[in-house]
Amino acid sequence: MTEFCLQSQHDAIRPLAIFFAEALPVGKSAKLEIGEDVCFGAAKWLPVGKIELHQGEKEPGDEGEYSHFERALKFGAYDWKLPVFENLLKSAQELFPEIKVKGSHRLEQALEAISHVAIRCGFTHPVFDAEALAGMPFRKPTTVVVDTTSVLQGGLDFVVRFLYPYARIKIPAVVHMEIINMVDRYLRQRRKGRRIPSTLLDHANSQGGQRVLLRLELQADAEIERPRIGADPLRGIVQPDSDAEDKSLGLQQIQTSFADRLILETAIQHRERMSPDHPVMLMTSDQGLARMTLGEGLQPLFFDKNYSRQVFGTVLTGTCFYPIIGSSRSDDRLYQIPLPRLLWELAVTYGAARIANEEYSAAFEICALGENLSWNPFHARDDLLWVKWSGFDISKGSLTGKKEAPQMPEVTRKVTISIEAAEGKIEGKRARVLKGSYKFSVSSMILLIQAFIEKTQLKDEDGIRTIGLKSLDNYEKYRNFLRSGNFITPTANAFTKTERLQMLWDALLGRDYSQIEMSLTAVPSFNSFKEELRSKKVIYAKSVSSVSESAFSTYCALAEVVCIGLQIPEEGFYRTSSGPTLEQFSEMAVECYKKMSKGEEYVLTGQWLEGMAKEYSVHPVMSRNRLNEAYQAGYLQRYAEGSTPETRFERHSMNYLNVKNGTPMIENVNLYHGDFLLADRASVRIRIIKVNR
Amino acid sequence: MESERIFRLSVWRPARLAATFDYPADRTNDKNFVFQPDWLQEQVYVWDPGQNDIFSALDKDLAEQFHAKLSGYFAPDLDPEKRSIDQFAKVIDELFLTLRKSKTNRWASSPEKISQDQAEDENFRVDAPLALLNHLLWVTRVFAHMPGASVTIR
Repeated sequence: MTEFCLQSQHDAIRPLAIFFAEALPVGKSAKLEIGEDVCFGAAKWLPVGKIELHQGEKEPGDEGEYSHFERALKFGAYDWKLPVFENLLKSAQELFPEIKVKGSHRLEQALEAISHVAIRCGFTHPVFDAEALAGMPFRKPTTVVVDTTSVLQGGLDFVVRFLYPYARIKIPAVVHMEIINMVDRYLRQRRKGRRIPSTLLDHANSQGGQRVLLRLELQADAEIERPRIGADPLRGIVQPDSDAEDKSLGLQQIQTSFADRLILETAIQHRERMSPDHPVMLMTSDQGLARMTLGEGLQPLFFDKNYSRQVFGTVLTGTCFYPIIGSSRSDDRLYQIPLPRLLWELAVTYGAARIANEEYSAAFEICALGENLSWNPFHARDDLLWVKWSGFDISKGSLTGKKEAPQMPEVTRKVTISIEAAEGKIEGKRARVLKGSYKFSVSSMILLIQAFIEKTQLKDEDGIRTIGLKSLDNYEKYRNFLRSGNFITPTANAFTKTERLQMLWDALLGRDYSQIEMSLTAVPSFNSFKEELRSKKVIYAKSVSSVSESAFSTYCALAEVVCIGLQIPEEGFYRTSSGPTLEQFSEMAVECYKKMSKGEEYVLTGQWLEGMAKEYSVHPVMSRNRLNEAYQAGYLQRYAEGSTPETRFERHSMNYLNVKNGTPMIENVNLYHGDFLLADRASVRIRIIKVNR
Repeated sequence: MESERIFRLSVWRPARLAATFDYPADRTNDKNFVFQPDWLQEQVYVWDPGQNDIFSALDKDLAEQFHAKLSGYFAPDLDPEKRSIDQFAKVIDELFLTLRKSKTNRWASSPEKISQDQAEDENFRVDAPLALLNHLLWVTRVFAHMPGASVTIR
């Protein structure tokens, strides 16, 4: 792709994966560079570090040749090695040969913005006042009013990422206006073609600042405080006004100190509108504003910008620890920074960014601003930037890559041929071998199947809406699972149900377990999982070979639904495909009861059900049905005793297919609660006696 | 082994008491015991890596070195002066140097899962020692000049 095209960060994952896989020798880093067409000149680049991707090995369920590269890019498995600041400055000075002493301070400031990019992306954090960090995470809702330095230097991103939702965010209007002023100044200089460091600084601040505000509004879930009543104080002053007094005071020109005061006034006025015990803090890296805030009886949330340069010369990593605990879900400690997030942030801040191999024979370039490159609001909404690449071929990334031509099971081959035929005509794309395993929610899958049954045809966006997903990426796992079993087939701009899906749906409605199992066997990954279970009796997430470890729980749930397996927590997934006769079952049931009772009269129902699964490969649904049948046929006698279920067995549950109001649904049934075995009775304990016939 | 994997970082400072505190003398058998409110320490920051084993990606020697320098030098039974934040910053610098020299590939799968939305469920891959040191470096910067600040690692 040698011409620019618009791409989102998500779109860029694929070409970047192919770049890392094909254009870089194993173990080599990629060069990361920034460009600025006016200041550096066209086709001139400043190196800002090296990226080393740690893609790991392919997983068993990976369906694409580059899936592990894509995963590494998306989930932050890479290092960013930054240059030492002095070396960076030297390289930048070579791009400004006319700058000797004068102007180098501006150049240093413009380069420091790289560390602000690192903070905004989350690689590192603002160095807060110790007292302020001691108060994090917030224990009660607190309004944080931010100033312009917080927006530019990553303070606002920290609040959104780690302190929200307890932190309520207020961005004073004057912050927007200061940034707009920077934009105006930068564009004026750009139009004049002024190749000086202050142009670069204004570019970095204005475009970087606007990106933060747009990202917060359009991409983040955080909500900004914008009360309708009592707008920001003095907002009118910076708007065109013919008031003679304003003119004489020069208030139509934003002065730095005046802007600071406006920010503080916003915070003070916000405090007055809130209840007296609601804390309001003013976030800034400006010592003067922090002092003024303290002087006015407000708490500053101060961070020290003088540490910015210490980021240079270090190695940052794309997967980081949360800096404060207790602010997110209690068990979460890690978060990831997808590589495109860094590239996008650098590209917008400086105008362009690229990633290239050592010899520059292959490169991926992202451009936010340039001659003949347009901008529209939808670019911001979808976070689209202009990209192009050279030196590698992304058609090589086809999932049927030439390097590997795996032998497929017959059923897969048939499915592939039909998809290939359809795609060849309709989409013009190469055929896809859907041999991967897919992680999804079985309940949501039933919703999707229902939507296909009702509407016959479904577009991706309708499917995404039906099951309430956020991304196409996740929806593809559902869709590809159905495609791999030939349950749906691609047609123009949509997918259409096949006869096989109707059969599956009818089986689900009728709770015909063997028919559901037979239908699902058409899915290669499910078939492989079933075969592995058949050959091993018990399988474990860590050692499963037929599906990926991440998709293991999905396939366990499917197998539980069709009664061929049962997950026992802390043990493994047991095969339960046995179908004993009533007589055989009665022997097994009593034997199992006796083993467990150890002299006690009653045993826990769940323990007996799990014992039947482990020792005799009988699924709990089969055990329940056979137990009642054997009782009615006079093979055995059963007694139940109700009591409060023990909480230590709360995780011992099973996915169970039920049909309510004509709709199949998955229920999570706890085997130890007792109401599964004998409906409407809390038979927590059971006693089984053989009847002599 | 289980106890070795526990890692809990706390940053302390001398407690700033709002009122005078005392301790009833008859509650201790030690007749020479004198309650010293000035000795009280206040925890200002606490952090742990959760289920992530931060040493497992290191080779045996390096893991022992990390363990000895972090848990050993900052054991809670040491005087706060001996486990000051300055001392902590020096140890972090040393560990960074050690890590830089190490050639081992430390990227490994974490037991922690990524929850992007309801259907996404992949495990993180992480260079846990580097992520840990980057985090601890940030902690040392924040608390660098806090008077009397000290560190414990349990």
